[in-house]
Amino acid sequence: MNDSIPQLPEYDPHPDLWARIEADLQADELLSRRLPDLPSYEPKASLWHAIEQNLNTPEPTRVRPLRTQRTSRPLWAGLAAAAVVVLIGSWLLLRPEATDDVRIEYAVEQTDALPGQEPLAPASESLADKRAEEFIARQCAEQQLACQRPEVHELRNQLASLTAEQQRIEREQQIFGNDPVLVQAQVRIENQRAEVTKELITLLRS
Amino acid sequence: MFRLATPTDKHEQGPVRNDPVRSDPVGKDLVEQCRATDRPVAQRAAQRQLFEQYKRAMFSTAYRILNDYDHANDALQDAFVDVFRNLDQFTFRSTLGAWIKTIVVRQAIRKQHLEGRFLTIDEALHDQPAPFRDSLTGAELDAAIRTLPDGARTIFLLVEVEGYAHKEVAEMLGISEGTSKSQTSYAKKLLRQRLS
Repeated sequence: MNDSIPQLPEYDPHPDLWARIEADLQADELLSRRLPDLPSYEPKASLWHAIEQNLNTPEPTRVRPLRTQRTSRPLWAGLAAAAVVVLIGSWLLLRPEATDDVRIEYAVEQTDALPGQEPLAPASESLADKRAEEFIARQCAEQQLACQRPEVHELRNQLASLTAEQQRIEREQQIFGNDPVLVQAQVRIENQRAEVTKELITLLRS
Repeated sequence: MFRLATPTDKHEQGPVRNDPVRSDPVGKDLVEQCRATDRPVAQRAAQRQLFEQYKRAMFSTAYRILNDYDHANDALQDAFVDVFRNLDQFTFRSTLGAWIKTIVVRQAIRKQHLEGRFLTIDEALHDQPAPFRDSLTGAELDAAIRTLPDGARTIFLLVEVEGYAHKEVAEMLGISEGTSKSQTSYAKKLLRQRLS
């Protein structure tokens, strides 16, 4: 193929082609000569007054986008933010270790019920809980052998410890308020109590 | 803000004779007076003087591009307001006339809404048009230019009359250089067809 490329035939252009090229060149030259002769035009006589009125009115203020406002906040704000970062960073790095002399402890004080006073019923104890307790007590009185069974005994112990735990949480709530951790613990204990009670009643009925 | 095209050498030696843009008769003093906001009366008088100096050349450019007398006046008004409001940015790196003309041209283009108005070249024009008559006058040429399609007319005026390079025209109009060249050629062929 490389040998045949130089042997490709040549072709003659149209005989008028030079005339066309020459005409194009002449047209360009004539155009260039005539363009400076183009007439000029006068605007309206009142145009200057319109321009003057426009110049007298203040330029419309452009609302800057929020991003621009943020970047153009004053220098002192940036310096203040930098100073705060440096101070916090320094404190975190250089803060003194807690020593034995300075120790902060939290404690919850518990008071025993006064002698002769009945312990207060837990606030969370509902009517259903009372009925369940009464039912269990009645069943154990009537069917002592049934209440002696180890599984019943185990469930009663669980119920007692859960009740004690519930009372402890309620006391802490009176001190610390509705702390989310206490609320979560209370819900968890109530659910467990409900399950154990239900299981115990089912066992006593069987 | 404006992105001003730097006039090319071709523009400095442009084809339009006796053009105040080329001779640039306005000196630095008048420009400084136009900028003097602390002397409003003198400033306004200087601005008026500058407007009078350039209004005819600038209006002719806007009128030829827009082909509409009222629209050309609107374009010139907006352009000169922009000129006076932005005169602080003129740094004498080009002539003042070239700087103003670029603003006028851009205003005219903005008003013309040329998007999609660059016609595909008529196949019939592939036939060789007859040459121009030697007796062709400037007024006849002007009338023929005004009959050109908007896109081709604008590009022809910017390239052939105002002296902008195809690259500058392409940037101003948001088209390719190839389109600028083909539309200029198309306009010339149409002119030859209509003036032969």
